[in-house]
Amino acid sequence: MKILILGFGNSIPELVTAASTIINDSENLELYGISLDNNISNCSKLPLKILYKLRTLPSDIISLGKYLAELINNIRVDLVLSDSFQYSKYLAAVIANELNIPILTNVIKIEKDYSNSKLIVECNTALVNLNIVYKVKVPSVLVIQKGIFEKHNTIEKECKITELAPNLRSSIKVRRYEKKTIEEITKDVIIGIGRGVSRNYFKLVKELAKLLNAHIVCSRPLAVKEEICKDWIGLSGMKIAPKIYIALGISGQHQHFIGIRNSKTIIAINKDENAPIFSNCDYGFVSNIEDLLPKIIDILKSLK
Amino acid sequence: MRIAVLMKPILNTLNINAIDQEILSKANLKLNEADKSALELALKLKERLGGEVTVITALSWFCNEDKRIREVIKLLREALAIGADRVIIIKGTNLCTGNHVVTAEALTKAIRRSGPYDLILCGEGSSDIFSQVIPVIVASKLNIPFIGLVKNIKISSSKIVANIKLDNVEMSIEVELPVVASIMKDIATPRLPTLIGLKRAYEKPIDVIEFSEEDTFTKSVEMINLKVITRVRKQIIRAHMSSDKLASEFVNILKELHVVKMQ
Repeated sequence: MKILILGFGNSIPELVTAASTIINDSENLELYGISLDNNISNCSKLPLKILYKLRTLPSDIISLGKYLAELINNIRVDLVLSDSFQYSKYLAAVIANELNIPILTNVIKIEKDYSNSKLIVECNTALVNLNIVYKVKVPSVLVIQKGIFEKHNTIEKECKITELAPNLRSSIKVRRYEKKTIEEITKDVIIGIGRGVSRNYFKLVKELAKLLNAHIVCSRPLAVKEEICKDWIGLSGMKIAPKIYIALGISGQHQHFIGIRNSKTIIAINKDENAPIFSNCDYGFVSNIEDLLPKIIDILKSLK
Repeated sequence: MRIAVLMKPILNTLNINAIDQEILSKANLKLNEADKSALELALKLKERLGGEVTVITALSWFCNEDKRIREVIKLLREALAIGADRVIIIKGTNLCTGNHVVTAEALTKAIRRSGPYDLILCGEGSSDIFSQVIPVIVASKLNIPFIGLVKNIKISSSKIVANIKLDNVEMSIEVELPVVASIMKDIATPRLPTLIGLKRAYEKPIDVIEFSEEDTFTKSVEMINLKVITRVRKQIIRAHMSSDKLASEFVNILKELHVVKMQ
């Protein structure tokens, strides 16, 4: 089976694991990769036959999708596995359409059907309690949910890297372009802040994060309005699965909960005892953040 | 300016904790919030630039049930009441398989048949499935540019200037019409219908058309199971206690979870 992996460099190791869950006999698995950025230091020793690399990403996703569809068609792959970043997802969809093959998104589990000609694919939905299981023919495109598969261990041999420099015509002109590095959230403890945390208390949240060796993330309303975090956690943002998620002043609307539902333990502090977060957490504290946070920090400091 | 807005009727099950086939069949449909924002943006553009707004919907739940089609007509009458000019609803059993390329094909056919359009808008994703891929496939089929996710937009009669955010990249782009754009729901707050608007809505056209294509491709995806996920959280809630007591309980929990060391 030929599987092509498509995504940003830091997603490729986990997509290799996803591929090897379908075919555990490595002799029957031929893997190809397309990295959408230069961040491939973790990929060069993966069991890939060829790793294609794009130096720059065009703003015209349709043109790039058509170009890559042709490349993929020439390799005659059976399956495309894409990461779930927005750009990759759009690109994967164009590729599926160009190749006239189906696409499934939010994929968390893939198994071979008994007949081997189809795959059984489980997908998250945006409804908290519902997954949908599909039977899909190959060839097809599957967009894999981030954080579900472990990163694949590297092997000794270096894989062949080929740079792609497509000369695409585009009617989209870029006037301004701003790029940040893609943040990888790997810490065990993540603190989420919402509108219930006033601006004056951000300093204390940072102090708590330092004491707990935690990463700070935002809810969407805070990210959009206050511009403290550029990225948010939730249905339309990042999805995380830390060991412990501490929600500060987050009401826990369904959209936010989708982003944290795979957290092992959820602890919430909110002054509103009717906040939805309390029906979906392991430990809840009904209190003003302003009163509680300084006291928690004092105790934690005394333990150091 | 001729604008098409793609709107999806989604499952209204947010308050149902356990969902299964039986509950699913009882669930109401509602219009996807982000698509309502796209409609609002379209109506504002129509008010400024003139033209007309067509709402196009492909059913993806209960896609061939007459009762459900009546339910969707009722929902979309609200779109007509607030200013859309016509509605096209696409039904057909193949739309229920969950094959996004097939849904996009049905929408593209309706767009071609009722168009041409200068601008095709929709929300960033649906709050039930959230695949987000339909608009980009539609653009690919129509062979016109796609832009997403749009944070804000300025339109003259022939081109768009938009700020978009894709993962770690924010950019301002300029593109000639026609374009398919997927917009972030914060871009506009949907207006509410008035009584006069609701009355006028009955005079505007709602066409229900059938997508009947059936080939091996439309059958390449099959929804085989709706799986209910039950994850029981401990739900230990501490309230009505002094903040000193709450703080020490909070730290004790962190100790139990081995985030901080026991002493």
